Amino acid sequence: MVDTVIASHFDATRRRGDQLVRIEASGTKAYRYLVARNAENEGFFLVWDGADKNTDFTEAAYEVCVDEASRAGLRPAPYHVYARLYRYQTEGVKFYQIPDRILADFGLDLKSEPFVDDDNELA
Amino acid sequence: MIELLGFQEQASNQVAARVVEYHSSPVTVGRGGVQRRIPFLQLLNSITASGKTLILADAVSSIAKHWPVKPIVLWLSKASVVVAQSYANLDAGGAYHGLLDGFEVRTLADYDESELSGSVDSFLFFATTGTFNQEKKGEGSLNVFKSAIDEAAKSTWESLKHRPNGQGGRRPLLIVYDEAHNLSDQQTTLLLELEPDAFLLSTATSRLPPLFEKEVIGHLKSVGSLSDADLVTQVDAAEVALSGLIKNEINLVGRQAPMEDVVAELMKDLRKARRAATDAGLPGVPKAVYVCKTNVTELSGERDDPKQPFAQRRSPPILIWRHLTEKLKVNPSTIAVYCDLKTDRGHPLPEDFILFKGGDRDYQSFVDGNYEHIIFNQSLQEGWDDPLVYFAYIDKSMGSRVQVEQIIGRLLRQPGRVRYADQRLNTAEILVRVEATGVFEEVVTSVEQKIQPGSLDIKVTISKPGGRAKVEFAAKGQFSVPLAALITERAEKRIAEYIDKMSDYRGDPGSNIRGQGKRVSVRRVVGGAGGQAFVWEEVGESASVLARWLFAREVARVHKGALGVAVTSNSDGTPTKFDAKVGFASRAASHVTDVARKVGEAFVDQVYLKLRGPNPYRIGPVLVDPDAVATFKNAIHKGYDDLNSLELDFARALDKTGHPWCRNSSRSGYSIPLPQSGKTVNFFPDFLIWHDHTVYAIDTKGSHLHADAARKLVSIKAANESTDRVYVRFVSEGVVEESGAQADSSGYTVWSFKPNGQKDFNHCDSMSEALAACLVPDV
Repeated sequence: MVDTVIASHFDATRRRGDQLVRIEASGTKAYRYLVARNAENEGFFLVWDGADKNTDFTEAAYEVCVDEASRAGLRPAPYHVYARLYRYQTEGVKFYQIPDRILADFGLDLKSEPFVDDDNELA
Repeated sequence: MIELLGFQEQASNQVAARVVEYHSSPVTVGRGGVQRRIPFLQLLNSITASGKTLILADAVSSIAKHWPVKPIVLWLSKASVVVAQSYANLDAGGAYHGLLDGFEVRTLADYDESELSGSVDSFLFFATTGTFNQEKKGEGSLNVFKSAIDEAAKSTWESLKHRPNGQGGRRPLLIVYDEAHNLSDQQTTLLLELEPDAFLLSTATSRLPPLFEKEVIGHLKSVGSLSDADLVTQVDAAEVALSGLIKNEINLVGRQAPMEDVVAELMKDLRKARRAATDAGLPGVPKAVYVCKTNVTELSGERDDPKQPFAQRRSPPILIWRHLTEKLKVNPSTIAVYCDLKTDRGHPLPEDFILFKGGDRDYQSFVDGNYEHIIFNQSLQEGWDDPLVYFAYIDKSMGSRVQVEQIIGRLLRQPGRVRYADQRLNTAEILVRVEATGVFEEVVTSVEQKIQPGSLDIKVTISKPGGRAKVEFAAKGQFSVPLAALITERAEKRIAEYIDKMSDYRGDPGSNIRGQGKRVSVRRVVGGAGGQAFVWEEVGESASVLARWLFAREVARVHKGALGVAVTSNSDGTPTKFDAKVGFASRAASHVTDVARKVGEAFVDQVYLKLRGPNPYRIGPVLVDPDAVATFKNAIHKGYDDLNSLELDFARALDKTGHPWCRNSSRSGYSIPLPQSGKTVNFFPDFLIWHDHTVYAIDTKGSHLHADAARKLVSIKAANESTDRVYVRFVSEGVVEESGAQADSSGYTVWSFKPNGQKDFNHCDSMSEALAACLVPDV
């Protein structure tokens, strides 16, 4: 999933080729949600504890993001957050809904094209 | 993928809805066999940097979805230095391409009729107006420069008149132009030959060529009974200013002083802005532009002779450059001079003098250089707008005919597209050096007329020649207020229920998903090659879209936030009922729309506010006019310059309490989000007072607040037991009751809200008594 987020992220407001840098978890610098940063030192967070666990952006998830951004020396806003539901809506967060936004950034807009077309083949 | 802001979406929806509506009942003129349809017109009226291209791209995409025969969009752009970039933005991989789903994007030079007839997709052809001399361009973008409409191959133009869809139909044609004031009568004639279905133009009516008035607007008004308001989509400028897309304050300073003094004043402010930018983490350093005549000396008005040593030359760009580098110690490698400055081989410019005199040919290398000081005449006005430009110096040599409002347009875009706590970083500063005060007044009048500060919610402050510059008052200590977040938990259950009850149309035999009632007509081609004509034909079915598209559009009309908790897809990729295809104007569409509206309304109704623990709003410095300042002892800043009489009385009383307090800016200060149907309104209280781990947010207006907004304001939850609380209070002059202000104008009324949202009035005889009533925490 982390690779998918990093590969798919396309920020239309920035120049092309401005890729995300993956933040590797190691030793004391293990992160629960922080997965990458961009050239402006903004953090990218993937709230995905597992298919049967929390996948939503909540107050508790926000607090984890604040802590991790601070530990990694990233800017306090904006946080780019990939999650299933946006349950804590607050200033300074850019929310990307899973899987819709990831697929949209890969070029498949779920609002116009279904996952599966009429012949039941993967679109 | 780029997402539209609320006001952009509203504008796009209105444009699309009007085009679609007109298409089903158009104006026709003529009689008997020579009837013709008049194309529809929609003008988009919006200020610089509000995202016009975004709105237009989204609107055409939405229109295309409504039409069973997919259209051709002829997207016009003025040939200029940025035209290749404009095309790249629309093309696959570009910033706006994501909005154009289902579209093939081409340049007009790549037009190929067989491609049109072999595809059912929509097509966007990018074409240019006006001539433009671009040399040394790479092959990749070359075709953009061969796509002028008045130079298009005859075969292309003839084919565009037919625009086949491969099934014997003629595709509808939309003509889009985001700088339509450049359109000529001759180009209008060419475009009308194509019999377009609609024009989407971004300009004011008054700036269209006369032919347009006669052939389009005249018929739409006289036969179609359409009014000006029906033909214009007005983007809410106040929303643009609040969105953070543009700077929300313009500081217009007039100076009758030598260039050296005015540039030094600019440099002083620029350095302060740079420090603020570093603290705020801006994506770059604030920049300055210097606008002046090129080869004319200031004193005599004669041409500056290039055949003399550099130090003796008197042309304004050279004088400014020398002052910057020699006196103000600016590194020459950060300065670009972008104008046709005359030079002489025998008297070369210094080696570190960076001159771009090639005009458009130099544009790209100029942009790539990322210069921090740019000296230019007005040639650089169109296309170039770097958000980091905060300052402009306008030289006396420009005289009174300088179009300051155009220069302001170049400075308006806001870096990072967010508001900053330091007002300096939301402000554009223009220093105009003038011969006489009268010239400055002309400039001010012209700016006020052009940008209409009243409707724009951009604050324009004027400092006349002789007036003192604004001064910065830092905050005395660290003060912060917790921001409020929207909590969705109460809304989620109801939203899930609505979605659960929504019908599944995936297996529908057709009776529910087929569009009804609306007349849908398409043009069919009749006759053979050379003698082709078109007839309108009714078709039984309207176009269809995914239920998800309809749902998302409709929810966003009420409140976009609801989409964050309304699940329409399965994370494992299996289809859901939102993957059903439903026709416009079908029973299914009406049902989905209805569910979506309920989902949006449940969100607005049930969402509540909770204070946020981390990342509070921090009080930054303020910029005040030293000639209008009122000073205070206990305020966080030394003084304020923008208090009306009630606010001033209140501030004086507040100061006597001994508690720290501050004036809160209504544009860039602390605000509380209030979700309402249609949009989120931000509430900016007038004053903030810190007392006993509580921040009181007091407003001296507030009567406009909607009952629902009031209910949310009174019930802001604490982040946790140990964090600061925020309580909102209102103070009005005289006696105020439920029925409104009373005849008795004595004293003051403090009013707040009961937990059920009803107003609670407390009349006090004096301001100090009123204040004491404000500073009591809620039970």
